[in-house]
Amino acid sequence: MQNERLRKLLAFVDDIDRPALPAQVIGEDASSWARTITIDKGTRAGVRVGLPVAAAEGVVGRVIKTAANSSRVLLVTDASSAVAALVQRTRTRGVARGRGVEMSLDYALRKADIKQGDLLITSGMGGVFPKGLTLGYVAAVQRNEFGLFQKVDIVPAVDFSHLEEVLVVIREDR
Amino acid sequence: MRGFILYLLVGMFSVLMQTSVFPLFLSPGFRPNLLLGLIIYLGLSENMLRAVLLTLLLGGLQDSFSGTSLGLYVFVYQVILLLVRLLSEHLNVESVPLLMVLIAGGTLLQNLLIAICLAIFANAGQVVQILLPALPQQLLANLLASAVMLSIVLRLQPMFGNRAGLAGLIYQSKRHGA
Repeated sequence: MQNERLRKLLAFVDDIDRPALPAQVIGEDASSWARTITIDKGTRAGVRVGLPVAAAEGVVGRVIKTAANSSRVLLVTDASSAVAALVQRTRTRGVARGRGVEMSLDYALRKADIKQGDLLITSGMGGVFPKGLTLGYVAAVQRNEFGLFQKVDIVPAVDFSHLEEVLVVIREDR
Repeated sequence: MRGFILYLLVGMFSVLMQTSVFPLFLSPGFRPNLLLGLIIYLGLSENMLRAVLLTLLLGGLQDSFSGTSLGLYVFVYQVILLLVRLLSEHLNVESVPLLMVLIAGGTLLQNLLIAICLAIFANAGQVVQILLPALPQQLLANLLASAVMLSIVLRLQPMFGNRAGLAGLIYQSKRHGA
């Protein structure tokens, strides 16, 4: 089972076309409301604050704190996380915000064509995540008669409760 | 000094359990906050200066493993400590059920303070929507963990003769010479 996971991770490294540092998840957040994980790679391995972290299934989060041999990663499902995103099928832009277990797509225009099951990917506009990484899938869409935006619920592609290995994506300016 | 270090070690062990052991078996909402019980115990049993210093350190410890807001748990735990100290003078704190009520009250107050602080000072508008649904699970988890810890403490008490008695009893005897 671990071999299968590592094989997927290696295939993902080939896909993203950037250097990536594998790391293991060694801890989770001590509170019930924040969504962070601790990984076993730190500044000695070249990890810096702001670097994106991904798994074979998609985006995990970004590094927010570093120590010599460990780092804290803010998950995309944390309430303070916001990722520039777009719907792959229609290229509709929005901001994926964390809601604990799920996410929501904010600022997606009400008239934009978004359907249940659509794939949401990073747009690369925020400058943190490379373009084209999987964020999740549209779970529900709600359009009111009035208002500028529609309400879009997103299910993350990554199962954060069973996350064991991740990749820290190293930027080219390293 | 030995007691001070012992409390710190217990705090570190609690954080280790919360970050590395409980996540293996429990969903985020069902993970008990062991440090909360320790803070309430400190409020009932230790002198004020030592309790405040330990709460500062333990709050900082929890902050360094929780979320992104450094100082949040330091503030929340200090408020809980002060309220427990104020309440303990008016309540029969040697009663086990009352200690459980204090844990429940502490859990509710902790979540309320976190929600208020994050809503006012941090850009985390959705945090209330995360905290509220998880509150019943958190309450249940904290009460269960406290019940287990209390039963262990009560079983271990005969081994520590001079510290026998519940936290409240120690506190009352120190304050009133009973």
